[in-house]
Amino acid sequence: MNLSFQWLKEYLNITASPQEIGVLLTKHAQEVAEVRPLFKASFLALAQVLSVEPIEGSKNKKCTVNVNGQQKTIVCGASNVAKDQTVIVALPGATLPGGKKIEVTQLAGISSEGMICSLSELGINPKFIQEEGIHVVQGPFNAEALEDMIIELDLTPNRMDLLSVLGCAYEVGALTHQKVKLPLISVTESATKNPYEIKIETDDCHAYYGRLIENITVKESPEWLKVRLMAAGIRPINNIVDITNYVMIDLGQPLHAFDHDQLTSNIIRIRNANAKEKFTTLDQQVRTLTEKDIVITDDHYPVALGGVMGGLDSEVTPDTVNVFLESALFEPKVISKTSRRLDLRSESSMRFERGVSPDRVLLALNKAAQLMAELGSGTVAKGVAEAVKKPAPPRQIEITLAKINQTLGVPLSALDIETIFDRLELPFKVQNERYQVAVPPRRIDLEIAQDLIEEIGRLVGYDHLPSHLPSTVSEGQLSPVQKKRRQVKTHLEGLGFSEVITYSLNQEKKDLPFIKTSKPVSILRPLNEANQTLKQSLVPGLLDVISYHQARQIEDVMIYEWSKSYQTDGESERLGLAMMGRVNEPSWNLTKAVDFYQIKGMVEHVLSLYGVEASYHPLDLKGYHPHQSALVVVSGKTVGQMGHVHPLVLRDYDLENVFVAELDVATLALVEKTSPAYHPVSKMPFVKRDVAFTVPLTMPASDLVDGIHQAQIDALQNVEIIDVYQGSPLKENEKSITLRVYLSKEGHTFKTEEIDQRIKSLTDALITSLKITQRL
Amino acid sequence: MKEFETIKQRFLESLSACKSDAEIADLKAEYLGKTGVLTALMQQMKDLPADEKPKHGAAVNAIKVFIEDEIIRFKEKKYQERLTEKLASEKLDITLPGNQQTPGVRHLLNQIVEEIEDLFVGLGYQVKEGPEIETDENNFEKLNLPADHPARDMQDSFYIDPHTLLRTHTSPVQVRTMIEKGGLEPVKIICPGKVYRRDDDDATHSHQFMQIEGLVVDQNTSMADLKGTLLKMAQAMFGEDRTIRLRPSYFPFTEPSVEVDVSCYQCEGKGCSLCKQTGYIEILGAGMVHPNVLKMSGYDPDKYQGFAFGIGVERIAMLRHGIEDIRHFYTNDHRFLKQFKR
Repeated sequence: MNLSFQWLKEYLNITASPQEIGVLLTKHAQEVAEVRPLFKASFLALAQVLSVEPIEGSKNKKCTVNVNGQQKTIVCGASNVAKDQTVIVALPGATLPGGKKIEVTQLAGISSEGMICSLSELGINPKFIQEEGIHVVQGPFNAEALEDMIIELDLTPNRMDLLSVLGCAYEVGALTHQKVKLPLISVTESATKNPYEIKIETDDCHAYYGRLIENITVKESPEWLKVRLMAAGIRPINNIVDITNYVMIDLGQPLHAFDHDQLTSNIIRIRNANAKEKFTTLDQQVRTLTEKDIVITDDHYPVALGGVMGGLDSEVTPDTVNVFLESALFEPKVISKTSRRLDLRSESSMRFERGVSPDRVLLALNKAAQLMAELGSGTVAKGVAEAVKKPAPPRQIEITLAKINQTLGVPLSALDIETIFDRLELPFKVQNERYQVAVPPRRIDLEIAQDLIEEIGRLVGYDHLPSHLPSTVSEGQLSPVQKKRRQVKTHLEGLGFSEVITYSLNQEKKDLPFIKTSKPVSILRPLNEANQTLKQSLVPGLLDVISYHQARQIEDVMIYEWSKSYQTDGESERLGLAMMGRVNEPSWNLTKAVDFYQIKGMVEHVLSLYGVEASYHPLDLKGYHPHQSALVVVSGKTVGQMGHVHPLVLRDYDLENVFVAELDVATLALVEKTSPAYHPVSKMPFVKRDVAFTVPLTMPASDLVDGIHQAQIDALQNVEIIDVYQGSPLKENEKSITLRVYLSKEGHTFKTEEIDQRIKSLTDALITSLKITQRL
Repeated sequence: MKEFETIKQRFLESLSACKSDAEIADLKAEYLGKTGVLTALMQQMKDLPADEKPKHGAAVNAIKVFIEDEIIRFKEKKYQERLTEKLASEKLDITLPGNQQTPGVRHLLNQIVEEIEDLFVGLGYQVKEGPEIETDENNFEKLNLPADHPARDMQDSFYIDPHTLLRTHTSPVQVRTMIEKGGLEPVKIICPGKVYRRDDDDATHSHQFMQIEGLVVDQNTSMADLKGTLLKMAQAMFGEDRTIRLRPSYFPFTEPSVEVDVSCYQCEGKGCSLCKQTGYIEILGAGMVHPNVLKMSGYDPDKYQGFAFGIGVERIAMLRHGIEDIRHFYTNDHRFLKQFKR
């Protein structure tokens, strides 16, 4: 809402500045986006053009003008400047929008004492301007309007009562402790009887009033009216249309003017449209209607789409002589649906869909009819044609002083409350600190007790509320899952990974290489092709980030993402890791390219934080290197996969050698863990022996470790793989694996023979079970 | 006795000339060995008068101790000399970088989430999380946004089917928590998480973003409690000197509703380009929980009341660090992320 300060002053005696009113509104009512002058220049004045003389050899003209009784000479280049015009001049000292400074200047040897302005030179939006060249003031106009200020309000959907100057006046009145001065509106009627008859045949129209205004002249509106509309942000068109808009901004009631002579009867029938009924709106679009829309008909044809837009055939044109003026009350929800369906949002539909004040429907009709007669030199026919349903009684809201104070947390007195209700002009009754407020029609947004608390709170001013913490005593702590998540993240960062957050929406086809079964969750109306489904794997998002860096010559990347993955059977938390390049970032003496065992080490690290150990099994997923990838299994449950991303997949990302892991942290968090039991630290020395075996190249090292454990060697504490070797003198299909075995037994010191005997039975067991040879 | 002094002197001279441990061993044998100098001295004792014998014995012993101590001292000195040489040969260029694994960083958005979580955990709040795929009942209806509400336009949300969508705020977690508590006990929670709106991405809009909402429901929870809580948060985020301003606003799920501004930290409220000359910057929306919301989640609005607030994590990050484009958070450029080390 663009509120003209001068217009507002018609309803209130305001001594404060527009800026001060702006601050009050922001603090206590609705946010003011800006307080700005209508004409963005100072030192403006009205002037009468006394004479215009051509200047030889120039298209400029020498104009003599009268400014407040003083004659001044101004050189003007506009072609439309003429004697006897009233114009707006910027006098020396003025600064125009864009920073242009007006001074006395010499033009063609003539001293020019100012500038005759066009509206665009004064910062008026070009879409409001009807003319070329300088602006010629039409009809009576008060020079004060040149100094009008606009208060631009950002309205929230509940405060549509502020979509009118009168509504704003009630609000500013409440904030400045004064009552609104309501002007009396009287209509001078002619002897002709209003011939119209109104028939409402729908539940969606609650009231309809019509007047006939005869013998008017459609022409340009007078200056004061055009300036008011421009202040409100509406383009002036002609006096009839402008008056309907003016009254709408003034009172909040949308009106519609029909060309009386284009209507085929004097019966106005308001009904729901027929299914697929066609209607041409005045923007020349043919609209297909539904039974939910409201049409105004002249008994034969639809002439307006109720509350939304008029029809082309009955539009007021420069040739219109008689006007049928409508002021009606439509069901907000219906208007909202129609305007949305047809994508037709107008100043009118916006007001109807939020609800207009029922007590201003007739008032607006009369105000507009009277203005039309005055400004169009016509007459208003006698009587109002009307059809009005019984209005609902005013809404009553009850509230106690205790509830008000309990909610706001401030001790207000009964007097405080009553003063605020008075300031808001809300009629109320009170008994035992229980208030009953009768909501006036202009404030249909007030529905429940809490709405009244808000009125009181904002008028008291939230600045005046005390400020303290809730008295509710409660236990605050992160859940075990949340704590673990933070711990793992912190470890990962210590290991060199940075966290990324990628979009949850992507394309199913990007996930396919990394999931066993695709059960995508699809969006009904995706924004674009790349955002059709929710991600089922974290890997594509990580590859995108890596690819971004690769394209920017950043080749050592370690990233992780902690996010959900989503499938039709649910969403679950996952951890994704990705590595490319060198593990130690550029180092002069130690760099290691990422490989399978690096990412596996990271996975093992994470699993150790969950207190679990995993077994690793061949992985069958297209997105991974068939021989450098693994399925991660904990206690018989798959908890993830990891490995070298398949070169064919990487090719799509323009990448090579990327290692990733994806872990189902939701499942990991559920793995049962027993709290650690204490074992006294052994005082016995332990014995370590290394044994090497020659084994087939394809044999997994875990076979040897498992084999040793299965042999159940007495006093065996631990087995480590300390070396894997391939090459001479081994055959091509062989490798050597060296194990380190730790023996220790409580209360026993081993003799050499005892150790030898145990190592021999261990070696023999492996040789027998795995058919391998010991390497001596 | 002069003879004894001469022996000591001679020994010290020989010791200082020793070049190796072997030479020292030989010297030690020369003096302390079975046929050594001291043995010879001891043998002189039998020729002495009985009253001089103890004195002589003590003097020989003293020389023995002296020689042994000197050898230890000399060895230690030689060891230290060799060590000093060795250390000198090990001189490194200490300006070369160390072999650390450069630590990674937590994403800025999660740093802020954790900061806010920590603040509220300290104030006795629980951190509640919930699903991102929600029913429209939890996301809208139970928050007083009935089916024909304009804010529920299909255009503005990512629907999966007519009754399921990607949550547009984390408020459904509040609904779930209230229902879980059965309307019988106070609620004091914050709900961080990802939310989604059907916006085209540009410098200030993102179809995915992070939000933190807070909810307190109890029998006497008031707007003054809300104000104190928000002040605490604003100060934690933007500095101890900040003040806040509450302005009337509108949300379907709260009544009264307020927008909350923090005093501008760049100009201290005097007015600058950051705060558009107003001295204040809008940071969040809040209000008293609408009685319909309480009722629909099982709380009796005549007995319970509460406050709720919602804050955009990206907005906080952008304000605090002067970040100009919301898309940076989702591009994940290392050179961006690594600027925000904790």
